[in-house]
Formats: sequence, structure tokens, C-alpha cells
Amino acid sequence: MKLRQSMAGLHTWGGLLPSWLLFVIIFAGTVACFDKELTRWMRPALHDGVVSSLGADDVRGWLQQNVSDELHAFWMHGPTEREPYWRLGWEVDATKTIHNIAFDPRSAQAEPMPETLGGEFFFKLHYNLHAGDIGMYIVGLAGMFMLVALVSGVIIHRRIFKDFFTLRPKANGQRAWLDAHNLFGVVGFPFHLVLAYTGVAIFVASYMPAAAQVSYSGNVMQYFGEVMGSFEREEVGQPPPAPVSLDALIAESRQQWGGGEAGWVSVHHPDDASAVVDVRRRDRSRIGSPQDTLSYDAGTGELLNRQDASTGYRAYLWLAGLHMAQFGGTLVRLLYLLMGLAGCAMLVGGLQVWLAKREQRGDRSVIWVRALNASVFAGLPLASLALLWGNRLIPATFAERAVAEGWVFVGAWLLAVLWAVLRRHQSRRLLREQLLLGAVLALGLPIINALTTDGHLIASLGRGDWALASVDLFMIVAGLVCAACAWRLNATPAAAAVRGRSTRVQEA
Amino acid sequence: MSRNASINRWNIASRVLAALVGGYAVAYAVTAFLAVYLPLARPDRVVFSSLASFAVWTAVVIYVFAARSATRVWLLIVGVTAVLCLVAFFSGDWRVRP
Amino acid sequence: MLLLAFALAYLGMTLLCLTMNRHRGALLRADTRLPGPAIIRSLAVGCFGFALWLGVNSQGGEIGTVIWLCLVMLSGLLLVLLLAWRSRWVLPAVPLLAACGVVQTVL
Repeated sequence: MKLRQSMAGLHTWGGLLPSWLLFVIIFAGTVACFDKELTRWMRPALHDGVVSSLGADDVRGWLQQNVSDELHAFWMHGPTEREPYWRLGWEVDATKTIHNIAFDPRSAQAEPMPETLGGEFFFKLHYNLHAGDIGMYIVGLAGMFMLVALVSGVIIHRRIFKDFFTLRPKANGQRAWLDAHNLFGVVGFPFHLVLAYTGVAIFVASYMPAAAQVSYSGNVMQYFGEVMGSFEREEVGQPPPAPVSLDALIAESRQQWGGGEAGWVSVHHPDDASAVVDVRRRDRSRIGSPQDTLSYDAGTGELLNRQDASTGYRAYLWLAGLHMAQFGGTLVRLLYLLMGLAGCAMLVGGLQVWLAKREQRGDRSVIWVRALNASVFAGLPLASLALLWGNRLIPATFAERAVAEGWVFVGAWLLAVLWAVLRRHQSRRLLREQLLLGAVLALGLPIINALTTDGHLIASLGRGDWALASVDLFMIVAGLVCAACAWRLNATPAAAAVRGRSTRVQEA
Repeated sequence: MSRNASINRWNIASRVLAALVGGYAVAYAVTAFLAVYLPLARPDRVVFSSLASFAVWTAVVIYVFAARSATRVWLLIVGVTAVLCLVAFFSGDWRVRP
Repeated sequence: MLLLAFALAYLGMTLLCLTMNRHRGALLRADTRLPGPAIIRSLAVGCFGFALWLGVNSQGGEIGTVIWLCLVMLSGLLLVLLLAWRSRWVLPAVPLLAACGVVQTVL
């Protein structure tokens, strides 16, 4: 009895306090399941599905012509089914700044596309909230809170199996929300637990440096080298010889793997005679791709090292792969998306339980919690839709276009927060209006997409390009669902009015 | 009554601190200990002990709030952390064996 | 084949649900006779097992298991949502899903 009480306190407060942050993380992660499809949608140059005909040497040629800084490294990824274009990134030696661009697949020469945040925006929001290392630690801590909340939630649940199928939407507020919270928490429990654990495990080297400190005496380079079986070479301070063709190295690597595909190709200290080309294998047929990287001398093309990852690192990759869902194709990503939405529903349900309990007691401060709920649970999806609108409406020639998109997102979210605060006494009306706005924004996206690009829904469906069409289709479905919810909220005011009146009486 | 409430408040604050800081400390110590004493090759010891650390932290948090006495919790946390860290870090060349 | 696995998982969930008096009344007429709960539960486990076999068969051990687990969770969610709002659709959904699954497998 005592145990259950203390665990209930732990679950309530340990779950409540990070729940808005967790919602941001889970929502962003859920969207990031289809980040590459979203990127394609956000880049009109990719709408007709042309696959780039460039080679790795063309990409390197562009870099040599257009970037004069001394580079620490550069890396590139060739066209794939979901991303039919070349991506290039580089790190400048002196300033440690990182640049990323993507090349237009329709062009025969290497020509960068107009920049955009792309679907990667949500991926980054998911793992570090766009706040660098600090954000990564905050997300990790939130993940630990989630693990604790999941375990304590199981301890306090009295009838996990008996109530497994129970959902009583017509019961009083608290009961109904508790059912919903339990349903999404219990039925989705394996998913939430695995994703929370594998999520914190991805940055384990940063979160828990104990093992490296004790067993490698804190020698990070040796630690990573030995664990990953990777290859490093010190700079020698001499100018490099003429580099060998990257395309030839990729072809050779594919031969070495018996026809396997190449993924990331990276060149370390390219302006030095010690330059090394790493060709990483891309294997989507397994959960933890073994990444057996081949390292070549950039000048002679001699094979220097074949990555032989330790068992531990393979286990780590398996866990990380389980989290990132890059295996099993669209089906797995769709399942993760649905389970992620279930996670969001669990959070919302839990908060509603907390609110309903306090509302019954006539606690006045719940209005502010309601306002916070409205600004996060509705504000973030609305801001995400606004980001897509911004992506379509900001002209392609606009300088710093990606930054502008970011400001659209931030501005929209701030407006949503302001709106929620101003309307804090009419949470029901606010919700209805938010749903309506969401419906308008979501349903408007396929239209504005059709007006501003050639990749409209009819064209993409006609081509059988489901990857691109899925974004528009998803928007239509989401918009219709929002509209239906708003309509229902309007149509059944009776029960709600009674509930609302009683709370107002209590508040008065 | 108010004295009770303030005692209660201190008790909760102490447990929250024990869960956050103490929990991490125990997880750190267990990881360091396992990284030295697991019967595996060095890279595997390091990775597996690190991966287990989050489970340790979670378990400690649950224990911290389930235990009756906060004093006992602190004693146990400090004791376990100290012993495991000492055993791990003062194991000579054994800890860096390949 | 995976839709069929989903149908099986859903059937398994429905069977488990039928062993509980609380939900049985909502799904079946009062005078319907069913085998004992132990038999129904083992049937449900059989359904889950068969679904797992289908998943592993079509996607390999690792990925098949992950997909299977997601399908089981989602079938549970679907069943509960139907139970709460459209309980008359719960039982007809079994043959419907199974038919879709068979059609998908055959095609």
C-alpha cells in the first residue's frame, strides 16, 4: 500500500513535469519517421522523382571549385530510393563550422538546390531540440524520466490485465481519461519502453562516460577506434597528391561487399597527404546495419583498413537501429508512426487525468496548466504546419531561406502560445478554434503545393509516386480528422456545457 | 501540522536529489565496475556495461522512492558508489586489460 | 501476408477479450455458449504465434518480430477503440480483416 502510494507520487510528478517536453520529443520523432518524404515534399526540385545522374567526383569537384577553406573533413551520400539526390557536408578546419547542401537531381552539373530545413528539422528537434549538446542532455534526461514513469506506471496499475480492453468514453472525465491513458500506455508499453531505452542508449557515450574513463583512462580516440574498429591517421603536414576517383573507390567497395550498396562516403583531412577516404556500407535489410566501412588512401586508392566492429558495438548498432527504424521499409516506419501517435495520446491522456482530478477539487491554477497544454499539444502541430506553409511561400531565391523557415516555425508557435494564454478561460472554445485552424492549415497545404509546384497530388498519384503523394494525402486525412473533431465538439455541447459549468461554479 | 509538512517537503527534496544525483552516481559506479570486471574483451565490456547503466539508474530511482527511510537510501547510495568506484578505479592494470 | 498477420493478431485480441465477462456481454448474446477460458486463451496464443510465424516468414526473424510486435499492439488498440465506440463492428471486423489479408497474400 505504502509502495503504491509513493510510486503513484513518483509517476504523477515524474511523469507530469517533463510531459510537455516529452510531447515535443515524441511528436517530433513521430514526424521524423517520414523525414525524407517530408524533405522531398519541401524541395520542389525533387517533386518529379528524377534520380540524380551525378557521380561522387562531380560532387567533390563542386566542393573544390566553390569552397576554398581548409577542410577538416567532407562527406557525401549518393542518391537512394527515398532521397534521389546527392548530399554533401563539410567541416571547416579553423572554425569547426559545418555546412550541408543538396544537389539538384535534374541538373547534369552539380548545382545546389535552394536551401530548406527539410524533414531533418523534426529529426533534430527530436534528439537535441536544436540546442546542441545541452539539448541532447536535456532530451536524455527526459528519456530517463520516461523510463521511470513507465516502470512506476506498471507498479501502480492495479489491474493491468483485467482493464486491458477497458475504455469508457462516457464515464466521468477523470475515469475516461485514466482509461485512455492506461490503454495507450499499457497496450503500447513494449514500444514505449523499447524506444525510451534505445533512445537514451544512442548517446550512451556522452551520457555515461564511466566505462571509457575507467577502461581506457579517458582516451576517447583509442576508445572509439577500438570499439568501432575504425581507422584514423595522423596528419603529416604535407600537400596531398592528386586524389583518386571516389567513384572508382565506391565501385571497388561494392565489389568487396559482393554487390552491397555504398552509403556515406567521407574524406578526412582532404588537404593533407594523409587523407583517408571512408566508404560506409548501407544495408537496409537488417536492424543494425554492420556498417563495415572500408578505408582507402585518398592519393593511391590503397585499401588501408576494413572495419571490424566489436560485438559490443554491433549490439549498440542493433539497439540504435531499432530506434531509428531505417529497416523494413515504409511498413515499419508507418507502424512506428502509429505507435508514436499512441505515445502522444498517452501523454495527453495522463495530463488530462491530472487536470480532471484537480478540477474536481476546484483548483484555480489548472487554467494555466490548460493553457500550457494548449500551447504545446496544439501549438507544436500548428507550428509544424506553419513551417510547411512557410516552406511553400518563401521564395526559392530568398537568402538564408532555411533560417526564415525556422523563424516561421518559432513565430507560429509563439503566436499559438499567446493565443492559448489569452483564451485560457475558454479552453473548449480554444480547442475548437485550434482544431479548425489545424484543419484549414492542413487542407490548404496540398492546394498551395499544387499552386506553387508541379508536384501536386494528381501528378504524383498519376506517376505512382506514393512517397511524395503520402505527404499530401496525410495532410488531407489530418485536416479532415481535425475538422471532424471540431464539428463534434460543436455538435455535442450539452454534456460538455454541464461539465464546463460545474468547473466554472467550482472556480468561482 | 506545518512542521510535518515541512519535514515532508525536505524528505521529498532529499529523495528527488537522491534519485537524480545519487541515481546517476550509482549508475556511474556500476558501469565503471562492470567495465572492469565483466569477463569480456575490453570494447565489449565497455559497451555492455554502459548500455546497462540506464537500467541501473531507473532501478535506483524506483528504490529511492519505494524505500522507507531517506537516510538509509543515502547511506546505501553513498556506500555502493564509493565501494564500486574504489574497486573499479584502483584495480591497477586489470582495468585496462584488452 | 502482413495484413493477414494483423487479422490474426486482432482475432487473438478478440478471443482474449471474450474470456472477460465484462466485455463478453457487449459482444455476444447472453445465451451464446463458448468453450472454457483456458481453451480460448490457448487459441488466442495460437493466433499470436501464427501471426509471428507469418511475420518472420515474410520479413525474416529480426524485422519480422518487430513488425509482429507492432501489429499486436496496434490490433489491441483497434479492438479497444472499436469496443468503446462501435462495439457491433468488433466481431464482423475479424472476417473482414482476414478476407483482406487473404486477398493481399494471394495477390
